[in-house]
Amino acid sequence: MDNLDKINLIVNRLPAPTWNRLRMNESMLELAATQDKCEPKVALQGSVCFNKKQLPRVPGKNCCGCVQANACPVHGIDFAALPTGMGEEMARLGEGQRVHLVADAGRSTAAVTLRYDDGKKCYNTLEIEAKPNSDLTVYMTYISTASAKGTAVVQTKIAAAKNAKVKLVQVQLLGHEFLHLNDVGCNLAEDAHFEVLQLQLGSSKIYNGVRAELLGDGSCFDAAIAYYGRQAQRLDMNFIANHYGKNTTCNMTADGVLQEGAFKIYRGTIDFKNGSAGAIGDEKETVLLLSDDVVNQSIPLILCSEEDVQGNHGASIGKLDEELLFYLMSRGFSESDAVAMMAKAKIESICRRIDDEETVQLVERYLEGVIADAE
Amino acid sequence: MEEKTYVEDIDRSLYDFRNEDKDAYRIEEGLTREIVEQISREKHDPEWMRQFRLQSLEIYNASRMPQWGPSIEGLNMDNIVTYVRPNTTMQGKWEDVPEDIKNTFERLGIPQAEQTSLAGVGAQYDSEIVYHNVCKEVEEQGVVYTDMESALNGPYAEMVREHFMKLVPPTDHKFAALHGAVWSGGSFVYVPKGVKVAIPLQSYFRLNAKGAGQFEHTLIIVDDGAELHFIEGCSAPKYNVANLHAGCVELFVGKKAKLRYSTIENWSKNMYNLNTKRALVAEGGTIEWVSGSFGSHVSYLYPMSILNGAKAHSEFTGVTFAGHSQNLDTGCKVVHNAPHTTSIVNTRSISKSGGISTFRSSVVVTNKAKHAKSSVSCQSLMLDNISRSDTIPAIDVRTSDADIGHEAKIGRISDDAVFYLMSRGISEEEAKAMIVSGFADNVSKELPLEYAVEMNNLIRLEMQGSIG
Amino acid sequence: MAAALAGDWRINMAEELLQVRNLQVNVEEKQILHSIDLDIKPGETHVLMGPNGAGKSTLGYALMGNPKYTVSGGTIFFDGEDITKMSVDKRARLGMFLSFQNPLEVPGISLSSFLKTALEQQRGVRIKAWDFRKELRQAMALLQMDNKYAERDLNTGFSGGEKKKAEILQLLMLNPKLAILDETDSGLDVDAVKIVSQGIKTFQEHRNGALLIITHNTKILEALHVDKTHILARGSIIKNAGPELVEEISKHGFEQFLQK
Repeated sequence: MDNLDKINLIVNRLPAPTWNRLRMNESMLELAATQDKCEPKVALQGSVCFNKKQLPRVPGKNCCGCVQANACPVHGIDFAALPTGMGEEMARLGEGQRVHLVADAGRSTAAVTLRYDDGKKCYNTLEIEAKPNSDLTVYMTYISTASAKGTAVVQTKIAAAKNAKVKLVQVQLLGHEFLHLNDVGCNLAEDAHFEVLQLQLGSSKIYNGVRAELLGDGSCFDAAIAYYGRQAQRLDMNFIANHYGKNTTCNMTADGVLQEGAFKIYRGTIDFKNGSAGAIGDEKETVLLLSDDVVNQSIPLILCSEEDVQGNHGASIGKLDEELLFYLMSRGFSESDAVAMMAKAKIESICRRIDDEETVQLVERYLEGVIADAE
Repeated sequence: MEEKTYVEDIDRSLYDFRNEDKDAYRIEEGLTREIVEQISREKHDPEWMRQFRLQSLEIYNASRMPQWGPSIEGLNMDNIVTYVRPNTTMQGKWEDVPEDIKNTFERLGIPQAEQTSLAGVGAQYDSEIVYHNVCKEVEEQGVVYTDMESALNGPYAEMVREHFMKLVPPTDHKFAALHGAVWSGGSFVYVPKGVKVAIPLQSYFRLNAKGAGQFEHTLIIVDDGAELHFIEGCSAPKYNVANLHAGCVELFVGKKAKLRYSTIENWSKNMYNLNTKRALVAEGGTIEWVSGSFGSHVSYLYPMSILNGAKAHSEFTGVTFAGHSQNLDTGCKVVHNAPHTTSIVNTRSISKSGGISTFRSSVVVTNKAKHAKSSVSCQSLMLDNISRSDTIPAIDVRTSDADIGHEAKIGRISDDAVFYLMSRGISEEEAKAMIVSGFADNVSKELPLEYAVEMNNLIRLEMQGSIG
Repeated sequence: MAAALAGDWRINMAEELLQVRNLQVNVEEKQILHSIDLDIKPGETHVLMGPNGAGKSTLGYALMGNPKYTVSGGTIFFDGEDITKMSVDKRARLGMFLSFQNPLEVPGISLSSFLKTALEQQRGVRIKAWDFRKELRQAMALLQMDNKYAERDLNTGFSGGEKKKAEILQLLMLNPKLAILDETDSGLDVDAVKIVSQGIKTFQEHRNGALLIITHNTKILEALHVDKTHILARGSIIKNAGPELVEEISKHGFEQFLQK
């Protein structure tokens, strides 16, 4: 039941629930119904542009029976119905400020900067239509001042057509009092490729969901997230890879550090639907626990109704491996230095894949602040 | 007169109804106070047990069905009620036993006399004598091995009362509550301090001719420094008219004691197997679960280890084979609640001919479990395109001084392996059966030879598609 | 060697780089090393040989201070200091180095940034990127390692041979006073052994570093100058001799020494 200015949502649902007692099946959250206007700064380069054509929306209707990654010539793409990681209830929040991009064949980049002022509650939607043979990289940075407080809700929906490549880089560097909802969904057509890199470093509560529908044969999904849980942060994540097409692949990794009372739940699902012959799915999570008051919950799922697949998942949780610690110390690093180095390394790994000097520098500067705070 | 007696901590989350939720069907009408009272009378229950049953019945009526697992809509509660009504002999007629069951007995080489007893239609004869002989040896060591009813009223009555449904309280879930209300039969075992029982005790000997083992309660207490291997069940399908098995197994492992609990479960394919097994392990103790699940129509089975003492250890080795029309939801749970506790889980699952196999687990490491170490490994094999295999593991860690690892794999039989075996003259069918047997060897190598052989035969039969 | 050990070791202390007395080492409940005595002077090259399972690697780990190996008796002096209870990183900064038999993968940290940070830790000052890069390139060239390895994550996805070379690269860059090489030649092909051996020779001759080479195979020693040889069997040193012992073992094996 919602009262006038608050909405209660159930988000990050597990595709296959387990014992209720564990309280991992889904998360409930409450947020303000009122929304502020927040205009993102968007800089485009190459064969990508804002979508001028406002096609009529036919919510929920897949009119030509075409796969929801290719645009229907009459109705365009039904972005409203595009499934996302956080789930259907996000639709209740509306679209907020909407930006719609269309990438044509060829290389292109889009830099989207979301700057939040203190006290704002902003809702933004980014819709991306990646046409066949397009190759688009989107850099999204969420920033605010360190002491700012607010709510930042961002939904990113992508329709990747045949042989389209979309690389989505999301770097969250918000102030420590923020409530952040980051919802991503991508429908992939034949041979399409979707790579998402996420750095979740700021905010006090983060709800992050990413879902890929590998509809077309040969499509690929690659997701990597790194986080640095501290100061009683709550990180609530839901990653889903649905394999429908043949020879589809996915690779999901989550690496992070938890300390100072942080709470983290990682739900990662690989679902091999019947018909996804030749599919390969990999999921790997490593969590370094640095203080005794943290809570780590992990629930990596593999669902399968197809014989000819290969699925693997692994999770490694706890303190720094003793052998590794010995190796580092034998090269002169003190124990605390070794631990700090390994913690930072997880973020460095993602930074290395972000091909943008400016963004990486933003992260480095932010991290220096974090490490300075800790000392 | 209701008294809140033995059910101290009612878990409120069980009462947490959602508005749009309705139970699939009303069960209450099947099971009444009168019936439970009657059961209690027939069994000559002590007063506390009578109260306990009634309390459990209330909890059963107030609890809802599990929402997260395989559907149990086909569960015929009337039949159950008919069974639990005392004085009913569950012996059917030999003609009514399904053909496939009879054929299986033949193939497994089980003689006619035993066949009838396994089918619940005849009395066991040979096994009675064997049982008595085993009993004598074990008695000399001071080991107590009796049926639950005798235990309730005999010299160990106090010990039983102290432990009965403390590890699995009726509030745990709906079918634990049902069990608490209508439980009947089962074994009580007590192994005194320091006694190492050399031969495995087998529950087969305790099979009650009266519609055997529907709601049996097994309570085993292994005192400090003692050792025991207990084997439950057997590989022959137990044919039952009533199709619910809601048993309960409670294991108490003392300090530095060791208990191995092996099960080959092959209930007939119409059964709903909603069994609850739990072990509480004290300081330095070890529990080893060896579990082969082959039968039932629907199974909910998650042996659980609670490591409550420092250096307690749990090992779980399991294999689940879900064939045609089976939906087997199995796995295990471990709770690390003390320092230096360790757990190892190694499971394999096989899905064939439209079967659904779900591996469901939870590893919980509390803040008290400093230096805990846990390693879970589950592998799933899909044998065709019409079956399902799901892996749903959950991990919850609340201390930084831990080392928790988990891995799962799913795939199909390697074509190369089949080709290799065929190139040595083995038929394709046989080759696949060999590979699957090999896949299940994590369990078969932990079983006594006769059981391992029977298990492999079972696999062979499943692979030939002759069962179900 | 025996004569030197019999004397009052306190007098010799200033001369010895490493002095191990009556060292006993346990792993969990089991005692692996019994009463080990060992002296290494600055710049000397010692070889430790013995059959598998003798405890050779254990000695290496215990000297470096791996917490899994408990010293249940005896002392270790290094460069004049009692390091028996010293932490691993302090021993490293004092100038001890252990090359691992199975070097661990350290994803997320490039080989070059790892080395640069380690060097800065050691010297206590920031190092100019340019100078460092030059030194690193030279060392990599010597070991015939492709430059691209500098930017790759440390040991991640490296083949066995590449991992071993990377260890010797670290040896050359960190320039310790004593390098303990644990089965550095295991898993290497003939060419790799030559290259690694060359790297060790450079350390020996141009850096005047002391070496304790643990091996059960004499191939790697062919090009190296050896001062002393020790045989370790069943947790005890059963023979100490000069470089001639290497040749002896290479021709006739250890068997003859094990009977005693």
